[in-house]
Amino acid sequence: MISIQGIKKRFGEHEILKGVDLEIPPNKITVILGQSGQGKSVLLKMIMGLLTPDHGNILLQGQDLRDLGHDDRSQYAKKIGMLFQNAALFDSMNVEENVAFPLREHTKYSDAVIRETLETMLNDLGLPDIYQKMPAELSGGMRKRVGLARALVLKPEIMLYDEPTTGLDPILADSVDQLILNTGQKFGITSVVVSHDIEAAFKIADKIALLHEGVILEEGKPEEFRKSKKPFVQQFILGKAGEGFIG
Amino acid sequence: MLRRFLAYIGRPCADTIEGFGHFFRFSYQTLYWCLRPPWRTARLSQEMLAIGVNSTLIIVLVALFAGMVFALQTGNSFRLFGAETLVGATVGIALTRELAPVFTALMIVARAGSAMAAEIGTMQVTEQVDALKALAVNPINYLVVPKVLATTLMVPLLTALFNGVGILGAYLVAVHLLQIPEGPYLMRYRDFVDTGDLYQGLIKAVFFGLLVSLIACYKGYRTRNGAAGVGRSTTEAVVIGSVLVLVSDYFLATWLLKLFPDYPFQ
Repeated sequence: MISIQGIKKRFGEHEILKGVDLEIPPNKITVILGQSGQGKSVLLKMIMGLLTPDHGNILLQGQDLRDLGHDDRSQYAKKIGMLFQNAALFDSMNVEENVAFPLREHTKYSDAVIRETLETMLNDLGLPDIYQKMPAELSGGMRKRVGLARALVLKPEIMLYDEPTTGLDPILADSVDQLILNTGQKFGITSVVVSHDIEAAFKIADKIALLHEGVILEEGKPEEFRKSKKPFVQQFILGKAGEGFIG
Repeated sequence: MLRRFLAYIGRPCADTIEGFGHFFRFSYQTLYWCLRPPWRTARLSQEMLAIGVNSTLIIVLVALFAGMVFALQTGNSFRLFGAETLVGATVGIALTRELAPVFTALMIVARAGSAMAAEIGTMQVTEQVDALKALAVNPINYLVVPKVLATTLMVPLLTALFNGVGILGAYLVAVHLLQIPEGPYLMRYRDFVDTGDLYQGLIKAVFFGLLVSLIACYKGYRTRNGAAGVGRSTTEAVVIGSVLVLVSDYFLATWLLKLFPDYPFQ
């Protein structure tokens, strides 16, 4: 469904991605793992079209992102939903306005239909009766779920999750993992999750890829990934710092 | 030695040139999205309210006291030459041509320009601008165009208000405090202040509105590095906006004096 071919990206003197090749299968959950600062979020933003690669191609159903004109790019963006690390809710709008925003921008639905759609969406995500709350009044988990509702309301074919459980307590993190799993199954969505949470990856992923030093070091199904012979993969799975990492 | 000197000045020069490039590209994109749907009339109304209507009180206050103090100073000075009846004409010309558009623009930079830079800057560092893009909404069209259009429309209107209130303030001080005879005061005013003076001020106001809003939005849009970056962008928006209003005023005045040559003193 999404084919990432030879992606390179440099910020100033620092080359973050040095030739990333990855196939994202349709209707599955792919988790991209990696240490902090390895360029996982950069890669996700490139799939979303928010950043442009210096080299390489990203193909969606065979269509190269670089070949898209302005209107095609807009259509492309509507096919993809993204949950940002801190949800990126519009802080001048309440929950209802946030979730209804994509519908008001891209559809001609009446207010009644919009209200019904967002009621269904928010109930499905376990968020009834918070329509008038402002983002600042919400907990971290609620913000993530409202962000997810906003991303899902246009029924995207692909969902991108940027560190969805970072900063959440274990119980809340587990509920967000369940949410990703259920969303993928319920809506038949292709999901790409960027994370450094190895436990969550094994719980929800159909495919795991490890981004390390600018390239995909290992990829495969969770059981294949677990059996990898590469020392760094095993070190990452076990969560060991390794010699010389500190001091 | 020369090589070290060139290396020393090279980077700041390159950064400045790059900055100009980014600004002109940003301005072009803003113009492009001004002429292209979707037209966001509701957002435009909100911004006109925030930038224009909500600035009315501060403009009235500044205009009233600017007119009053100008009349007080010129009245006392002109009295030395027995020319106090010229106070109205002097204040009228100074206000309509220079003080009203410049003071209004400076007030808008301080009040609305800083708010624009801070709002867009905060949205940038909290990924709300990226979220707009991810929702297939162009951030220039959604965030910048309504602010730039609203400021460009509202600064001339506020300038007109400044003119009226400032002239009223000057009249009150000149006629009622300094006891300058009302008849000659008004007659001199009518003889020397004409619509050309008003047009000059309003043309400047349109340009200042466009300039300060573009700078404020640009500084907000280019914000990086969290809360400190937002603070820096806001400060830069106010400082650069204020300085450019005063600098561009000179060049605009030179051009406008040629455009309206029927000024009686020439």
